Amino acid sequence: MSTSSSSSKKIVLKSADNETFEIDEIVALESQAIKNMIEDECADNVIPLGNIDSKTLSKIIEYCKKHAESPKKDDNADIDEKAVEDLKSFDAEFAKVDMPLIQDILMAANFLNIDNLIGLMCRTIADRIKGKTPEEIRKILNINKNDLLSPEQEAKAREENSWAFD
Amino acid sequence: MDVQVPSLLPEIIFHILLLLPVHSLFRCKSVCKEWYKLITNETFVKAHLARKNKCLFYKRNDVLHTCSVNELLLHNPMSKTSIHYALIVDDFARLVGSANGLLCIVQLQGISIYNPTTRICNRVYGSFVAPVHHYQVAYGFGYESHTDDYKVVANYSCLVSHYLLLILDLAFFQV
Repeated sequence: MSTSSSSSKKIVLKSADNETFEIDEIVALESQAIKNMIEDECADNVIPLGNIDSKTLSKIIEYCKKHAESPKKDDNADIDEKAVEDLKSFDAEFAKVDMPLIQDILMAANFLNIDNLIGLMCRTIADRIKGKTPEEIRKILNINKNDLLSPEQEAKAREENSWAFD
Repeated sequence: MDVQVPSLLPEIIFHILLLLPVHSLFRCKSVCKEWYKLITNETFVKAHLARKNKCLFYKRNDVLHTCSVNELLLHNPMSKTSIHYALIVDDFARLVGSANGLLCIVQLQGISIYNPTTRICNRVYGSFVAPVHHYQVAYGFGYESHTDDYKVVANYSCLVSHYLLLILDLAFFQV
C-alpha cells in the first residue's frame, strides 16, 4: 500500500442510524458512486448514506477493504494465483450470511455501484434458489404474496414447461 | 417506511435470473407475476441466450441427442447425452442447422423449428418444401439480424442441373 500511503486521505461514511465509519479513500473508491462524488468534488469529508444501516455498511466496508488490498486483475496479467484464490475464499466466506442481509447488501451495493459485490450477491441468491420450487423461492426471498399468478396463469406456466417440474 | 425485507429492484432480479439454468428458470416463472413478466420478456430471453454454453446436437436412432461441447473434450460424448423427445419422424430427417439456439430439422412432412431450451417445436407442413426423391435438395437455416427473423433456404437441383432457390420467411413463427 506504499502508493496510497502518501495520499491516504480519509473518508467518513455515515449510516442511516448515524454511525460513522472512517476509511481510507482507496477503500471508498471501490464504490463507483463514491468515486464519482469525489472526482466531481461534491463529497464533503462525511458522506451520508441515509438508506444504508450500520450493519450492512460495515459488511460492505469489510468487502471493499479486502478488495482494495488485493491486486486488480487488469493491473497485471500474471498476478499470483494465491491472491486470486485468497480473494475467492474471502468472497465465499463473505456470502455466508442470511438472506435478509444479502438483500440489504445487494441493494446497498447497487446504490453505491460496486460491480463485483453486486455480482457476488446475485450469484449467491441464484445458487440458493437454483432447483427450488416456486413456493420455496417465495419463502427464501420473502416475495410479496399480492403478486402471485392467478390459478389460470399458474396452470398455463406449468403446462408450458411441465418437464421443468419433474 | 417499509421495515420488512426490501424487495429487490427489477434490474437486480433480472441479473439473478440470468444466472439460473433453464430448468430452474421455468420454475421461476410461477414465482410471481413480476418474475413471469421478466422471464418471458424478449430482452431477457435474448440476454439469457447470449450466456448459454455451446452444445452439440446429433441424431441417432431417430432421437435427437445433445452433449455439451465442453464435455466433448473431456468425456466420451456418447455417454453424456440427454434425450429430447422424438422429433424425428421419418428416415429422411436431417438436422439442417442452428441459429441462436434454435434448430432446424427437415423431414418429408415438412420443416420443424425446434427450441431445445423451451422444448417448443413449430412445424411448417407443405409439399413445397418437402424433398422429392429425384431432386437433390440442400437446406440452410439462419438468422437475419436486419429483420430480426429466421430464414430457411432450400436449394433444389434436379438432374438436368436446374436450380431453384427458395427462401422461406419464418416471421409467423412463435418460437
